[in-house]
Amino acid sequence: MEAVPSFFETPIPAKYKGIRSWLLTLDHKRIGIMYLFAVLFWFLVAVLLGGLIRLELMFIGETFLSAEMYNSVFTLHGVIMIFLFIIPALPAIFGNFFLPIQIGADDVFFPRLNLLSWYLYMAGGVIAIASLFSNGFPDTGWTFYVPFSISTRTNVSTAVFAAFVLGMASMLTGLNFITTIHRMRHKDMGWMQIPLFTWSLYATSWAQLLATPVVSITLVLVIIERYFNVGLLDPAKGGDPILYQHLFWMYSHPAVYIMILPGMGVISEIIPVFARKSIFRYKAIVGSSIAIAGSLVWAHHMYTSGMSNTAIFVFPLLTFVVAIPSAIKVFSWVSTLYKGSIQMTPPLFLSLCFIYLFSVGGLTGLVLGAAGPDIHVHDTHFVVAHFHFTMFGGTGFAFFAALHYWWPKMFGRMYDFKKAYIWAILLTGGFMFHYVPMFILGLQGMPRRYFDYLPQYEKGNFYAGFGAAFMIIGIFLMVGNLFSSLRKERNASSDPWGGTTLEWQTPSPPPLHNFITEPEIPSYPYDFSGVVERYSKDDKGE
Amino acid sequence: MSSHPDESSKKLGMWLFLYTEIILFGGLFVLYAVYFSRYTLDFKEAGKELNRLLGLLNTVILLFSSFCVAAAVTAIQKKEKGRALAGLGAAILCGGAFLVNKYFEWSHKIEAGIYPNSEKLVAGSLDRICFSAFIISSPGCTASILLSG
Repeated sequence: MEAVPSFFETPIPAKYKGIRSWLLTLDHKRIGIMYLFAVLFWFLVAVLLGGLIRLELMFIGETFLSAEMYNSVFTLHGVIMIFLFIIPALPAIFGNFFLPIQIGADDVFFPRLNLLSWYLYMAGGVIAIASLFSNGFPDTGWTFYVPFSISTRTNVSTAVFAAFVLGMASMLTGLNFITTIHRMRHKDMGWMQIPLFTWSLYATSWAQLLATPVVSITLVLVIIERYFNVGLLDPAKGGDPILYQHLFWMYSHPAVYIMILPGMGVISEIIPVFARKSIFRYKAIVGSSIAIAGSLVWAHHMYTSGMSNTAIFVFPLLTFVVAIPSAIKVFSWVSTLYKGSIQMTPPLFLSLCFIYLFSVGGLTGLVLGAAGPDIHVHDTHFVVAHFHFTMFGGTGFAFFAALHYWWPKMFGRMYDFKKAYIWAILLTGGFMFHYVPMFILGLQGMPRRYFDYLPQYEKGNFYAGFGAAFMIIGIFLMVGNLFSSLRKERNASSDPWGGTTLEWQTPSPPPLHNFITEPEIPSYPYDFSGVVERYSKDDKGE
Repeated sequence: MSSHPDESSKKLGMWLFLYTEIILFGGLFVLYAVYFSRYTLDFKEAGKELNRLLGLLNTVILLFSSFCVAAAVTAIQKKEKGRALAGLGAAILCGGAFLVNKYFEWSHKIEAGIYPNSEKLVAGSLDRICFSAFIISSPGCTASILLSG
């Protein structure tokens, strides 16, 4: 089985060699790996920018960043993290690589469109960099709120255009995935036999198609306003700046589902494998993934912007309803672990960290979702801590877990477990030291996006700085540990973890057409009876 | 790589793409709806200042160009190269005609003082400005999409 050449040795189209075999490839696995390197690059850049923000805030007064520079740094941190890391990370890397394999297909349905998406992604990144070198990077924050984004002198148009191009890449990926899941599934695979990671990508793709165009046109309006000053969003000319916020959050709230759903899909794959137990309530997880109520809560970002009493009543209610699908998933993961025969591995460790951190993020989200307390903590560090718990503690940790879970499948090499644990603990510990003080600072009233603060906030900011340092060191060492495994010989078996989904039926790394023999579709994707039998035989030495 | 001669999948992909385009303009429709409900009478009044004939002509041109492209696609499927090229050529001509038409329509508007930040509009009421913002920016988007296409 291992003798078949992997996709690393067999480029497609076959006539290209060397760098061209990557840049002109039509293989979903190669495109996934190209995304991996691009996304990791941007992620590490944005991590370092985040470190700069934290370093500036460690000491009162101007430390080493001027106020304008600070604004640009946090904007750049936000724009890169949102548009170049969190949104594309899981779908574009692991979705591209594993979605076709998990449904028993040999590629996505539109391989050329897939490559185009990668180029659009790269172009978006280049345009974002280009905006740095003309009039300075925008200082608006990643939300580009009007009227400031229209009146500021910095180069908002270019940055907004970068976000537009990246949105295009994300839409095309979503379109490709939906078509692939509908039309290229193995003929024996029914809808209720699809692995949960693929299900989560299906739901994500719909959210991408539903929501991204709205933000695209909104960003185009910002550009039109900047160049022609038509007044659609300018109150001096009869426009309404709050409409911008509505249009922006109509996309950007569903966008948090684009960010978190694939992460939840990853956790739903990892937990049953290492508990050796079927996932608790498969159908409930599927149902809660495709719950679209998330599209109807956008105005909970705008309680202080002014809206009607009816809206103030409806939006908190809907927001609380939206918490239920996430709670269902957390409950299902914990119930899956209950009485399982748990095998501890780095991916499982990171998944457990995910559950804890995401739960904290979710519960503090309810504080913000209720209109009353939100008035108190709106635009404070509490909000910053909340979304870092959900987006970084959630999606970020799911991304690390996915890296550790699928790394041996993608590259055929196993990394050092001991080091992986140490760096993961350093990362998680640093995370807590970094963001918990921010909750307290926020409740005490420290506003976000300010480069300086009053003396009473000094202590919390000083300690948070150390947490950030541990966290950043942990991230770099963890990524380094993964990459140092690439120097070794290929040593990973086709199924190092005891997984049941189709990617574990093929060699590591997979061959060009993904499967050597026709894959066997299990009647239920999380039936571990065969795995348990195989491992107990190994234990007895049979 | 195995080829995918699956027509219905290609159609599915195309429909999904068209769907995103509809939503893209949906954002503008939302804005229009909000401002229309806010300044209903003025929007109606301002609408009367526009040239209906040119507007109608534009709609016909756009619909006909869509037909031409669709006919060209069918011709390609039937391997009739000449007809396909004719269809695409006609569509490009329609695009040109659209822009020429817009030129007349807009120069008419600009003469009448309806353009962003013109003296007439700045002196006039807020809602007129808002309406003109729409009639300039919405076809402006169409034209820029057409040009980039």
